[in-house]
Amino acid sequence: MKLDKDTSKKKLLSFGNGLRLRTIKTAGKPVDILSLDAMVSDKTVSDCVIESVVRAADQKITSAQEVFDKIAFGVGAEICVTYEQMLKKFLNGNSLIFCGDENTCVAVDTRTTEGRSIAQPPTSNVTKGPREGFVESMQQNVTLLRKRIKTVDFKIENLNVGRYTDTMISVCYINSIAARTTVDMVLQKIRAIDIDGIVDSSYIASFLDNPKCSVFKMVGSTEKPDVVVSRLLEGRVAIIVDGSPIVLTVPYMFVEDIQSPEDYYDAPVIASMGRFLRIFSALASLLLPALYVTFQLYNYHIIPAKFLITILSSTDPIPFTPFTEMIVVLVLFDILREANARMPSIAGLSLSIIGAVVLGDAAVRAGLLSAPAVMIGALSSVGLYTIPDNTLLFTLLRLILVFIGGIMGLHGMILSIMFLLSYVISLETFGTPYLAPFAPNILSDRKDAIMKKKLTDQIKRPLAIKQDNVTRQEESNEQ
Amino acid sequence: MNNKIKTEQVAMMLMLIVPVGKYLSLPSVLAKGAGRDYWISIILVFVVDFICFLAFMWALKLNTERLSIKDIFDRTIGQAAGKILFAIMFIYIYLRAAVIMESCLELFSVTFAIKTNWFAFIIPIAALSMFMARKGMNNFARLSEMLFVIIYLSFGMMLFLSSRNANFTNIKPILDDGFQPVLETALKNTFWFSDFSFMAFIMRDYKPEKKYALTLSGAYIAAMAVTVFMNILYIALFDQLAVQSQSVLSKVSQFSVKLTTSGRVDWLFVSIMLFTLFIKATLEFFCCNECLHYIFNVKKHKNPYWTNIAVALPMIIVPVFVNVKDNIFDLFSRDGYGFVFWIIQYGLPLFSPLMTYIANKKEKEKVIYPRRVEE
Repeated sequence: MKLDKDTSKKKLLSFGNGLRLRTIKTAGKPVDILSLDAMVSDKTVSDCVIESVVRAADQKITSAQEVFDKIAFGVGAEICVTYEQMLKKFLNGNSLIFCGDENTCVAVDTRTTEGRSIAQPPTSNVTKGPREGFVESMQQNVTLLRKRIKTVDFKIENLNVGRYTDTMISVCYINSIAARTTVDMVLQKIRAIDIDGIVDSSYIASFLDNPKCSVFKMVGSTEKPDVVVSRLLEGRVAIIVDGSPIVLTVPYMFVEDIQSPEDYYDAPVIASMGRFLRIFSALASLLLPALYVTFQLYNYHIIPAKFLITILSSTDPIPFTPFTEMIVVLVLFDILREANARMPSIAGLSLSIIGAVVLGDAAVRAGLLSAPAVMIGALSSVGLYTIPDNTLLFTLLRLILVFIGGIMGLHGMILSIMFLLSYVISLETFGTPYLAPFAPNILSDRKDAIMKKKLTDQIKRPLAIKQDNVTRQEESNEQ
Repeated sequence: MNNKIKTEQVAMMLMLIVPVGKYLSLPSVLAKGAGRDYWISIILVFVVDFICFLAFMWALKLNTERLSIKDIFDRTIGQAAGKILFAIMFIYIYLRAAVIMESCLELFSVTFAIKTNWFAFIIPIAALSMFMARKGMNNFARLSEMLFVIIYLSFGMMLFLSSRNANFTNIKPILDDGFQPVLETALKNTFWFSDFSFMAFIMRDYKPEKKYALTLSGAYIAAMAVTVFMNILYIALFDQLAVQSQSVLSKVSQFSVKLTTSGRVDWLFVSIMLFTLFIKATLEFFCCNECLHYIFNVKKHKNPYWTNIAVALPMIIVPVFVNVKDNIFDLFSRDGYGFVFWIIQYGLPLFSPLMTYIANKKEKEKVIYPRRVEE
């Protein structure tokens, strides 16, 4: 037992690099202060721990309980009994105060708050609405939510995942809105994770994903607190992962990808037009290259004669078939996109101009590619960015459709669209159909789908999402 | 989210499935029998169909215990007779699906002048059918819901384009050759109707809602009206030549577009209409699959691959050796052997209210506690 008593402190003292030990003699037993370099705020350790101990040096301190009562004034102070507790606190940036050879210690929250300051998220810039974005610090992220949801119903359940990283994960929901079954399902899935480390929230997303679905994204993600709050108010559950600025939300529906945060701050007509453009350009981006190939190869009768002559005159000198040509164009654009994403930002802009304009123009002038194919490829590539969460997936689907259209023509395209649709229609996440409110058709939810109605008309929360309280506002608010 | 099939979904399925199969080779076959009055034959068969449909809707209402068609058969006519009925149903639905597929291939080659290899054509469809059969009836319901607007827009556009060139005086004089050829044609061609038979397989998953009868019968009447109008339009466009067109869907709008200015934009609508054909074919595949489940006592949640393959393989291979379309057309249209399936087309729906009532009564008496847990 004696051996055990010594072990906790000794083990901690053998931590090695980064350990800071400060011993202060008191009227009672000597007090040891242990902290981990870079994880603690030096000022907090000095002001809240060392200074307090020094001031109380003339008192007779003999136990951790006395340290807790007389010295540790910090809000987050806590007595730790087991080694595991101590280690966890220590690694998280707490300072541990040992009194003599006592096996218990007091942990004081001295975590450093150093990190990126709150700024507009680079992935979702808005011209209207809040500009704040989540950061890597979980505490700050929770604060951003708490600032906006001031109710006792806002609940946060904390869990730790990762054998080595021991990452803190917060599951947030509004108790009186979110369905308990959904919350339990999320908690159960997170608790069941047994992995060496969680580096980012996308790790958690892959565990929350429907196991049958490997292609479509089934977990929502955002960097904006106002978006998370609106989703929580619709009965969703948010998952914050320490170290990640991206907060996850479930259940997720495809329609969320055509909704922009700005839609809620604009007039409904403007928002509806924006959403219509987004869905139209996404569909056009997906289908246009395949239709171009199919029409040219098999169903050219559909193209009006004048168009056909224009296309034929520009494709005539091209050494490739329409199918090969379109594949080359799309792959070329995908290479440019990939390179652009990884290029240093200084070179990025100029190189992307060189890539897009010079390469495209040069290829057309050299007679390697035709202007209509380059134009369709470019239009398709740009259009996909109107649905930012599914851009890469649609890029892949677009290539598949071009392949099928090139081999099987319209027949193949219709079949593959049916395959795709029936697959997507069958997807469900936490009991919510992925394509709701289109399939199944939920009229009430359509008020915030493509054609957005006024906020005062949206009496109910989305019915596609399981929840305990479907009424968003009283009908008397309707004007 | 409730995953039961909704009334609107069934209504949309009906509106998609009823008209489309009647616009391929059937008009010319009917025109051979009843001349320009063949659309009256269609109305006659539809009237009988509608009576059966009403009876079936009543059965849906009476099915308070949400029994499946198998449960109803088991509790009324017994397992053996039930299996025989399922076997007949399987053959009926399978033959219809096979003919639709061959007509679809023909539609493709007639429309786009592309001779597609049968295997290249049918294997992807069989794969799609297998995939959809595994997803269940709910998927068909949602798919119909999703595609309904775009398909009916195409439908509308096709009818609009065609009707500009139609001469509706071609349908006159009505009943010039008397009523008998019309009646005979109607009786001989019943095989191609009764498109609501798929509803037998939704009994368990569908709970009639408020005004379900109005919605469903409205949808059925609308579907019938569209079908009749399309066929009148066909006569109005082709008059004496109506007997000759093989794939009506791609022919009706051929005079209405100017190649130089708009291209054959109507073919784009034909292509969109193909969605409906595929939905119909895959739904029939699904129903065949369900029949096999019932015949071989496969539990609902299992849906083994072998039943999928057992339906898909003949669909792929049989037409290689047998000219399904011509033989079945001849058998059930010219020779009038369609009556062998009347037990499924008319007998089953007409007796379904009585059978459902008895089966539900027995179920209520049997299950006092514990109640059957709904899946």
